[in-house]
Amino acid sequence: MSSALVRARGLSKVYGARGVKYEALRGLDLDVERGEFVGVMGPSGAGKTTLLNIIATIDRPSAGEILVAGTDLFSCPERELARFRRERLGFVFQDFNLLDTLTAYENVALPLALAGLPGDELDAKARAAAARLSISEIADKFPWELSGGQRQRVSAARAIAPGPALLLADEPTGNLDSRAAAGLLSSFSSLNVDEGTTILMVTHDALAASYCTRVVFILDGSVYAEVRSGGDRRAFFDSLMEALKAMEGGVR
Amino acid sequence: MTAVRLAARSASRRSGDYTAHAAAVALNAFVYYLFASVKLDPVVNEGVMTKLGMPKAFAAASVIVAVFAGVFLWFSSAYFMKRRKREAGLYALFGAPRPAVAFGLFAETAAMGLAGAFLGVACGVLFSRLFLMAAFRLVGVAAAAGPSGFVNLAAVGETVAVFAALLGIASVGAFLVVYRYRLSELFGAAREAERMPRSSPVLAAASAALLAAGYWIALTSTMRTVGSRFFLVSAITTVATYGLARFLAPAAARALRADRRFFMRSWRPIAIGNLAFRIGNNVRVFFAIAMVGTVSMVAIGTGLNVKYDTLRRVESEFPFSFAFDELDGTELARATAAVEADGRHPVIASASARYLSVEATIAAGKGEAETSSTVELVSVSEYVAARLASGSSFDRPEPREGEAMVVLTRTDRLAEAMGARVSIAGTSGLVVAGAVRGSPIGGWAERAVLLLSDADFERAVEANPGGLKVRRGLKVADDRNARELSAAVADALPGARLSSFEADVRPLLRSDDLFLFIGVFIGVVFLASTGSVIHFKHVMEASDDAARFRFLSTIGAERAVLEKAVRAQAFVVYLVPLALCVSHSVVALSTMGRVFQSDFTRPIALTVAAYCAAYSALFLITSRAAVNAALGRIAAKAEAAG
Repeated sequence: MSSALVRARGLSKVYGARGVKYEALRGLDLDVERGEFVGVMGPSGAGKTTLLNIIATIDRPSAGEILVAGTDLFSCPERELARFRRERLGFVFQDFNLLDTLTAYENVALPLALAGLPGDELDAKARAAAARLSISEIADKFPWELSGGQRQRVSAARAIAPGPALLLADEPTGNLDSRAAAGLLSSFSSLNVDEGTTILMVTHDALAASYCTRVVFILDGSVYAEVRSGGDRRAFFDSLMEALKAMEGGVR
Repeated sequence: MTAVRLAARSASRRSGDYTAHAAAVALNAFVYYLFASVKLDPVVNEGVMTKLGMPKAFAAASVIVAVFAGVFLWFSSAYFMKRRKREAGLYALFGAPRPAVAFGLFAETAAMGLAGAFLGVACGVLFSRLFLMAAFRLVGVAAAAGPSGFVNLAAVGETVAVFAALLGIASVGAFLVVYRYRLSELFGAAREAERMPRSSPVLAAASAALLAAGYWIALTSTMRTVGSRFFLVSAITTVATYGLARFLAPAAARALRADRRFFMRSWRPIAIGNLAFRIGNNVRVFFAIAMVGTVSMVAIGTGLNVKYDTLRRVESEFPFSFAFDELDGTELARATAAVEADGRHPVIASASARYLSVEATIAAGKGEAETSSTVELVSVSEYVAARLASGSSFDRPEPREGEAMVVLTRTDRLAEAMGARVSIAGTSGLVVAGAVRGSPIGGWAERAVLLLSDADFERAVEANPGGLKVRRGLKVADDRNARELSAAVADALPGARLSSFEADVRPLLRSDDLFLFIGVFIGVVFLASTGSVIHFKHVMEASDDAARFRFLSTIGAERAVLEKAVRAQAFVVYLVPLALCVSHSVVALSTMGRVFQSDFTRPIALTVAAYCAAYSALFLITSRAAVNAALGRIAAKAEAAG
């Protein structure tokens, strides 16, 4: 058995029935090792978000196998899946998905409350996550009182509060200005380095992807190429741009 | 695109919203037509029904329905227009001239309203005959005489006129929306984040204190002060109710979320968080529903009480089926002959008692002026014998010599009579020492009746022999259904001051039933209308939350937890107005009970129980619909994934 935290083999996903069919994934293979910060890039419609949704267990593959921490999640009952999502996965979305009716602190603590954690433990974990993403100062503010960058940090703090094995981020910098994006990605980077959090991030942005340790390029539903970072972010960014250009050539 | 086509397309896309709006108009028009058809029916406007005040009662009821319909339509239109502001902004942004957009909204609101009104009148025409039959039956008009014609054109005309006016106002409101707001405000309407309503514990406490003061003023009212206090109490209660809905509910939600250990647990942050925001938007709805609910509960409670009160009076004051004075000694024989000739209602009890009419001088207390009036005296042993013969319950009176006991009717107060000194020829002065409830033979008391010890009674008879008469009581089986026998006995006993259930009680019960019928009907209509307002508002909000719940499911919230969050919100939106209207109604009915010296316990309990049951049923329907609206797709996914 592989030590990979995520192991996907022969994943395919077909949307539509009879008539018009659309194949979002075509026999995709992917491993994500523990402690990796993996970026997923590719043109629109390449299958990036479909892959993320399947790993997140909110969508099912049409064929193929996916193991997360050695477990075939799709054989679990819905209740187990919900618990898995709650306890082992963290989600960061492009549009934040914060509840307007809750303060920043309450949003961070929400997955812990849903998991039924006792008060002291909930408070300690929520506060630690808030401190990790530097949002303690704004903990009592409501989402509409926050900037885009602050909201995304709250969203990230909520994702890491339960101590997930895998953090899934779908275009997390898509709605942020460059400064806020850099702040968030630095936070992701330090989470990955300092805490050993495994992160899988879908992005269009090469600059954002340059914070990763490895970037997988997807084209037409399967892995087209992958680039590993040598440790120098600028050099890695240049490699990513070259890979993107090569992929665009492939598309043409 | 013309304004009419704009309206048509928009209406077809928003069929759900508009079906709800049109259904609301239809319900109100239906009810209004029913009341108008009774009020304007030719049969109703003649004979017994006019005497019972039926046209007036239905005219008053139709005014209440029209006022309610106006308020309801205003709320309904305002709510739907709020959801349409962004659309109006979009049309304007794409270059549609404001008058065209405004006319489109006007045409749309008017078209849906007219469709609803037409449907309502059509249903009204279909059901009005049934409704009239029920009303006629209650007041005892033979079905054969009843409603004239299939369609009451006058009622159709009145309903159309009233609803045209109401819909005109609502449609003009829709028209003006485009002119009232700037384009940016219209366009940004959908993006407006929900804001936490301001909560003020001080104003919440002040509202609670104001309400308590209003309740206290109401509950300490007497017959003399109740009229002048009515408007004060109504004003205080109205202001305090608005204050409670506006300030207490948000303050309570804020207090709950302040306790993090309580708040951050399972479904609570989702439900309480949502409620804390939406209570602000629901204040006017809560307030209106609480007040409408109070009015209808008081109407039903009062109707029930009037009926119970009549029934209690009948039991107390009509122990026999027939009561009559003996004039020549043959009355009993003639009445018995009539009963035997009828054959369906055999005599089951008979009794007689001597009544002595005398002039009495009464001094209520020391220093008070004496008054003279005619009273009727009955001896205690004949009273007891008559009550025993009738089988009616009573407290056995034991007046000693020199004492008198008052036979109380419903409105008499013992406190005012106790200790009064009564001077009657033949006696050496009597003191009122107590009271009993229940007439010896029966009939509505025309004069005060006093019970005396046998010795005092005989002395009074000796001194006033001219005032003596014998009153007889006959009790027959199944006397509540003895209409024909009553007529036969009345024919047999001309001039004998005959009292019977049919002659004395039936008309009262008919008007009681009519009042109760109107009260219950208005109550049910108001309940259905207010219930539908809460239902549609809550389900639409739940539908707006669907994306939020899908996200919560994504991060691992179990469906059961999310269901609890949805149900908890539905529970509160029903509980708040219900609690307010139950509380107001209990105080209002208790006040009426106190003022009118009547026991309102049973009507209060029945009305509250009926409302709680109805609200529970509505809550179940709404929470189920809200769960489907908010979580329907999550369920489908869960099954697929499972």
